[in-house]
Formats: sequence, C-alpha cells, structure tokens
Amino acid sequence: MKQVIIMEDNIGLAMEWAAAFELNDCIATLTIDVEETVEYLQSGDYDLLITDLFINRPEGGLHLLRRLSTEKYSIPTIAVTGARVPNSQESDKNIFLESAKLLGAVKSIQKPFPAGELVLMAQSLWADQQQRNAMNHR
Amino acid sequence: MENKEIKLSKFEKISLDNCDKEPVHIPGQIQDMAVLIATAPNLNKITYCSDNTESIFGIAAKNLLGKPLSHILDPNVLHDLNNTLSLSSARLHRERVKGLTLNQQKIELWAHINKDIPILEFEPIETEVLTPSQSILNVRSLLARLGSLSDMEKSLKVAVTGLRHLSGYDRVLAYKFDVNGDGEVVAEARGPKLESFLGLRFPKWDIPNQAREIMKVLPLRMISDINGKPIPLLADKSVHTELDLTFATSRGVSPVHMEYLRNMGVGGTMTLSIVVKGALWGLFAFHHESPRNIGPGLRGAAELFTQFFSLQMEQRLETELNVIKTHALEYQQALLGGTQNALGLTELVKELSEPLQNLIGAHGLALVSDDDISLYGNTPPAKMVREIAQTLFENTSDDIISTDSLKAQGHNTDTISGALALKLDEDTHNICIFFRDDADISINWAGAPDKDIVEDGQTTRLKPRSSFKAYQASIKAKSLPWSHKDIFAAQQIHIGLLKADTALFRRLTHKTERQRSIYIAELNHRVRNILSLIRSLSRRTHETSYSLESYAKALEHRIAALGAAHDLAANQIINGIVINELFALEAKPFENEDKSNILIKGEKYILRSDTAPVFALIVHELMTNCVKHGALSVPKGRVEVIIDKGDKGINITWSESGGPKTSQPSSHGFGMELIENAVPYELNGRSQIKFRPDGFWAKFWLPMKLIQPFNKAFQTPPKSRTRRPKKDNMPENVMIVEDSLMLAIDISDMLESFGIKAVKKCASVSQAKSLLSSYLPDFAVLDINLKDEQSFEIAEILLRKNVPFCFATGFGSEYPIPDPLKTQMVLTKPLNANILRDTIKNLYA
Repeated sequence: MKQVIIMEDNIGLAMEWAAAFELNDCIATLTIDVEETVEYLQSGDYDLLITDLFINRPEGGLHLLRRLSTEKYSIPTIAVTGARVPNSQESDKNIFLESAKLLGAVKSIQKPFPAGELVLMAQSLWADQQQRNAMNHR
Repeated sequence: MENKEIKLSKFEKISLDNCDKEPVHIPGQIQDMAVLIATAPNLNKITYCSDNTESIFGIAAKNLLGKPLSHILDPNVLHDLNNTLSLSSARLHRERVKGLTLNQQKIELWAHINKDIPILEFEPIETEVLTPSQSILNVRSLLARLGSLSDMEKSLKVAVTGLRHLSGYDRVLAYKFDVNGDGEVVAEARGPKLESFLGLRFPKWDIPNQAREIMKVLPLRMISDINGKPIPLLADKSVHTELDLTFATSRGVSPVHMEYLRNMGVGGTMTLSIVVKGALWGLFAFHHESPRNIGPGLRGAAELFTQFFSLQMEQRLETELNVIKTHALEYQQALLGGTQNALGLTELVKELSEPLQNLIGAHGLALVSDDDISLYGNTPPAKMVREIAQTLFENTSDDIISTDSLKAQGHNTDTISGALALKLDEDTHNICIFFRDDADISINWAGAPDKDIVEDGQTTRLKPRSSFKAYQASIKAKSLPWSHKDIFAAQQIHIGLLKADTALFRRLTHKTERQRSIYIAELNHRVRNILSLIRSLSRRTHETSYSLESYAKALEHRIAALGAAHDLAANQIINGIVINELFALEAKPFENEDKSNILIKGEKYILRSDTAPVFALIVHELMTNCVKHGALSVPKGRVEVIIDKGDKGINITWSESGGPKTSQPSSHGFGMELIENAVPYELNGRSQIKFRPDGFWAKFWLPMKLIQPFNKAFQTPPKSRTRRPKKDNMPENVMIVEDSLMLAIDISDMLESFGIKAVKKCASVSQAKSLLSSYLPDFAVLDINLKDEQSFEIAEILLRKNVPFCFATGFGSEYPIPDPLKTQMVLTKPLNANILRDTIKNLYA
C-alpha cells in the first residue's frame, strides 16, 4: 500500500485528496506545517509528497522543498499551487511551480484541478519509477 | 432508564461528591488571556474586574471598581455595547461587540449578561491563527465533507483530522461517553511524535457532574495556558456575591483540573461539546504541548462547527435507530401475527426468542410470570431468574431496567452478568428479561483508575492521577454494557410484547366464550346420557356378577370411575392433559376384570390446555357410544386406541371389534356430530369415521401446535386486568353502522326481536363518530364497507372505549381487516338472526 503525505492548508481540499487516494488503496497523512511534514517524512516510509507551495503559515511548500534538498532527503514530490504570477507574459508557465521543480519536485499542477487528476499523476509517477527500477535492475 | 452500578466505598463517595460540589462556575479568577469587567445592569458602575486591567487600560483594577464604564470606553463603543447587550441571545452566550484598538493593541470585545450582570471580556488578538472568514470557509468545507459520510466511525475520524488541521493543536481526540458516563477515545488525529490515546478510557469522575452540565450549554471551553498565572477577580465593596462566569471564555480553571492536565503533559487545551438531543454525547478534546490560544475568530468557527456536527450526529444516530426500529417493527408484526394461534406470550416469544436476542445483543431470554418461567438461550436457573425478576424492579417505577453487573448486586449468576428487564404489567406479574454473558472485557484505562484521595483543609477530594499511560484492566464479573441502541431496541420490543399481550387477552376471552356455549350444549346432552350410561353399566355389571354383593361393589366402582372421567372433562380446563391418560380415565368404568377389553397404546403427548376439554368431550362420546351401541355393549367386545406421531401432528386411531355388527346410521346424534366435526372445527385437525361391519373405527389427526411439551404449566391470563362485569341479559343500547337503510332496518328489527329497544343507526364514519362523542352503546354492529370508506376507525374507537362489537360484511369482502382488529368477530351478510343473537350474547356477556 502506497503512503502519501499531503501538506495543504485548505481542509476541504486536503480531505478530498486524501479520500481520493484512500479510494485507490493508498494511505494518506495530512500535515499542517513544514516542521511536522519533515518529522513525518523522517519517521516513516512514504512514497509520495504532495505539497501546496503557499499555506497559511510563515513557511510553505517552497520552504519545505528547500529544506528537504538541503537535508538531501529524496521523495517523489508533486507541487501544487493556486498562486499566479500577476501580469505574467507567459501565461502557461507558473514561476512558482517552475521554482518548485528546480527544488526537486517531479511534477507540478496548477489549481484548480479535480482530485482524481492528482491520483492519476501519482500513479503514472509510480509506474515510471517502477519501470526505471526494473531497467536499473537489469 | 436506570443503570445500576457498582457501589463506591463511603470515602470514595464523599470525595467524588466534593469534586461534584466544587463551584467551578464561580472560580473567583480568570485566565490571563483576557481582561474581564462586570458592571451594574445599567453599565454605570464597574462592580468586578480582573486584576490585569493595567495591561490594556493602563489603570489598576482597584482604581476602576466603582467607576462608570465611560471612564474607560468612548461613547461609540458604549453605543455598540448597549446594542449588543440588548440582544436576547446575549443572555444565552457571548456576543461579539466589535474590534477595538486600545493603547495600540488590537482588542476583541465580547459581552454577555448572566443573571442581569453585564460581563465584558477584552481579548488581545495578536495570536489569531486564521481570520474569522478563513475559519468559517474552512469549517464549511469540513462540514460539507462530513455531510457526505453516513458512517459514524469515519465521520469522527474525518472530524478530528479536520479540526487538528484547522486549529493546529498537536492532538485532537473525539471522546464518546457510555451509559455510565465513562469516556472512550473513539477517534484521534495527532502529530508524528505523540503517543496514541486511541481506545483509552477515562473514568467518569474525570469530568465532574457540574462541569458536564456546563458543557451541555457551552459548546467551547479553552484553557490557553495550563501554567499561566490565574488572575484574581476583584469585587467592588458594594457587591457581596461571587460572579458567575459560566459563559465567560476566560473563566478561571479549577486547580484540580489544572493539575490533571499538567499530569497529562498538556500545555494548552480546548474542548468542544457534542450534544445530541440535549444530552452530552461526547466531546472533541484539543491538546497542545505548549500554551495555545487560537483567537476568537477561529474559536467562533469551532463553536459553529461543533453545533453543526452535533446535528449531523443526531441525524446519523437517528438513522441507526431507524434501522433497529425497522427490525423491531418486523418482530412486532410477527408477535401480533402470532397471536392468532398462540395461547400465551410464552409461546409467541419461543418462536422469536433468537431474533429478539440478536436484536438486543443478548445471549439468553426469560419470560417470567406468576406461575411459569420459560428460559431460552443462556440464562441463570429458573429459581434465580425469579429472584432477579423480583429485585430488579424494586425501588423504581421504570418499565425498563438494565445492569451489566448482576453479581455485584448479589446474584450468584455464574457466567452471566448482564440483564435488561422489561415490565409487562403494572404489578410486575409478567417480566421479560434479556441476559448477557460475562465479557472478557479488557479496558485500556488512561492511567490506573484507582482513586487517590487527599484531604486538604476541611474537604477530601480525589487527587488527579499522575500517569496517563495505558493501564489495562480486565473486568471479570461484568457483561458488555447495554448501549443506548440496545435500550432503544428493548423499548421497541417492549411495545411489541405489550401489544401482543393485549391482543392475546382479547382473543382468549373470545375463545373462552365460544367454548362455554359448547359446554352448555354438552352438559344438556350429558345429563341425558348419564342415565342411559348408568343403566348400561348396571346391565353389564349384572351380566358379569354372581352375587348381589359383588354386583353392588362393581357397580359402585364403575359409577365412581365414571364420575372421575366426568370431573376430568369438566375441570381440566386449566392444565393440559396427557392424551393416553384421558382415554384411560374415560375407559376405567368399562374395563373388564383383566382389563383386556380396552387397550391404549402409544407415546405420551400432552394436549394443550385450551383444547384439552373439547378433546375430552370427544373421548367421552367415543366411549359412551361404544358402551351404549358399540363393541363394549357386549362382553366380548374390544376397543384399541393407538396414539402415534404422524405428519406434523399426532394420529389417534380408535378401532372397535367383537361388538354387534355396525352400519352407517341414517342420522347422527349430538355425540356423533361432536366426534366427527369437533376436531376439524375446533382443533384445526382432521377426522375420519367408518362404520365397519366388525366395529366402529375413527381416526383423528391433531396438529403439532396443539401438543405441549411436558412440564409446561398453563399460562393464565394476567391477573391485573379488569374484565367487564358479566350480565346474562342482552345489551340495552346498540349502535348499527350500516350504509344501506334497508339492511339497517333489517338488523334493527332483528335486534328488536331479541328484546333490544334502543337502537341507533348511522350510515357513515363521520355520523358514527359524532354520535359516539356524546353516547356510549353497550354493543355495536359495524358494516365494514360503507360506500367510500371502511368502519375500522369506528372499530378502534369502540375498542378503546371497551365496547364489544362485531363486524358484518358481504361474502368475499375485499377489504383486509387491519392487524389490531383481526381478532374481532366477523359475521357474513345476509345476517342470520340466531347467529347474530348468539354473537351478541357471547360478546356482551
């Protein structure tokens, strides 16, 4: 059973995502801030991190990613944000999501999106990972 | 509903009482999260203030007492405050007045009125986690998520997860209180480093009664800093009472409670009450290792959350109860349906004992009446059940009572400790008890539940335990407690049993009346028969006697035996009788010296008490006819009776031989009529008779339901009920409800011919109802189908008023009679005067 950790401050969204993962036989843990997320990651074996880049705390997902990369902690991560860059010329690129990728997030997604999308994204990510592992093994 | 519990020692009791008496609503101090000021009703004089006013107003508390409120608040704020305090809701809970800036501090002003005293709380808001609108939006989406969940466990889990998310507390627990008041952690959301409290139980004395009472009316309680210094509340010299702070958020905390929380390792806490139907169902408890104050905005949203959650919970519980109710209704229907054939509750319950036990979660069931006990499943022995039945309802007027510790109440019940008893009549003559086996309950107490008692000054009180580490206690002499759901199910079964009992009683009365008329006819016939019998006996005795002395002796002997048989048929109405013995008794007067002329073979079966007399008559007639005209009318004649088990019943074969040649008679007398027709008509069985050349032959089949196991005493109808006084004459006032005038006149004429003069006719339900509002007939005849309506409503009114009545209906009526009325007499139209007269006589008697 895959274990997913979700850092998202909007309870409605966090729970909807958790429910979508649970429906697909995953265990979802909701966390409320960077500190707690790091503690969970260090104390358990997780398959995926989903983090909102800006939460209603001093530190958000970008801080979390930076911290994980400095601590050389590796986990497949999907970065999520609802923030848009004002007056951005390139409307299809989100500078925050781009920064998240630079900080190690494998995939990123701009709100709004249906919860199922997140699960599909996770499943394809895990499938790629498995294939890669198999190749390496060979 | 009452729940008997283990008695505490006297000392423990005093200590708990002291805890319960601690005046938590007038602590005389507040928490340091706010400044509290109370004034005279017209706000013109500050009567109480907390000793921290300087922090906000720059004026020491003692210098504020006695001053008007305008001394510290400007007219705009006073204006808004007056408006807020004018709201009726301000007398029920805190209301927000407005946000202020005082000495460069952002302050939230909240106010309420308790016992006519305005109480103001000024709370600095630098600590706000979420703004009020963010909080409300989050609560809304959490509630929407919860609204889609019907499963209780899942919804509690989601609620604690959501609440922790929302509030940022380290741990959020959902407690549920059981019937004893002990709390169990049923859901938990916690940070990664904390130990789990899930499944731990907290004894009921952790929350004293008066605190529970406050929780019922106050949805939220926050203690922001367990180690915070309490701020004393100063009072103006003009006031002499303690200020009631029940509804103040900053209300000070009992030192015992502070110690308790400190021992638990908590730095700040909050609770939300879950109140379902006015009772404290449970609570959400928030724990934080360090002090925490989430601010008034989020607190307001949390209050709203728990009130909505309570409503959702009420709905979920209601749904659960409805499921039970649906099952219970099925059983109620089954019980009522069973009254058509069953003789007593015992028999009804026997059929349903297993499903009823399952519905309530019991392992055994006992039905106790004055002279009978029936036991199903695992129960204590009969004698002990009677003792339990007697003691359970002592000192209580409740109809349903339960315990999970029979042994603690002095009953040595071996492996059974749970009992849930239903009283089926006022004088506890009839009681139904469900039993529950001992459970190997292992309870994970949050800390050893032993009570540490300390004496401080003049009082003794409980000292909070120092450890909350799971303490496993296994409980031996207790059953699982009866839950609210079990008790609800019991209430439904109680209703079913009471309804069934009433229906049974009515049907039995009815049936007894019918049997009585048969007995009277039989009696006339028997008196005539007895003379010819004695003549026949005397003749037969004469043929086999050698001297006058032996003749007299034999004759006397036979007449005595005849008397015994007669007694049997006349008196054995109460108890069931063994079929073989019935034949043997009837045969006794006619046996020859070596008893070879009458042979009775087969297993012993007991005939149910209500049908035994009718069957005794049949046996008597068989024997009498045999002696008068059949095999036993000659010395060489023989009779053989064989009783054996047949298909779903008992076969009884009577065959005569060696007598005079028999042939089909041209007409039947009363005796033969009874032999041929009583079994199918009265006993729902079958009969077959043949006049064979070598002797008369008859075969009867009695359905198994008439056969009673050994040692089952007859269930007498409850003694507490009053019956109508018996009258021999016809009723005086009769009501006819009939839509056809011609038929109504017809029936009225018939009634008149019976000597009934006062007859009232109605053509519709509404006419009948208005008549019944001012008049009570002695009897009524109701046509079922009245043009566009049926007369069942009238029938129910008559039932309630205890007025006997019969239905009349056309042949093949398509209107099914509703259950409660099924046992009523139905006559088929066109009415026969004799049948109508007999019916009225029987029902009115």
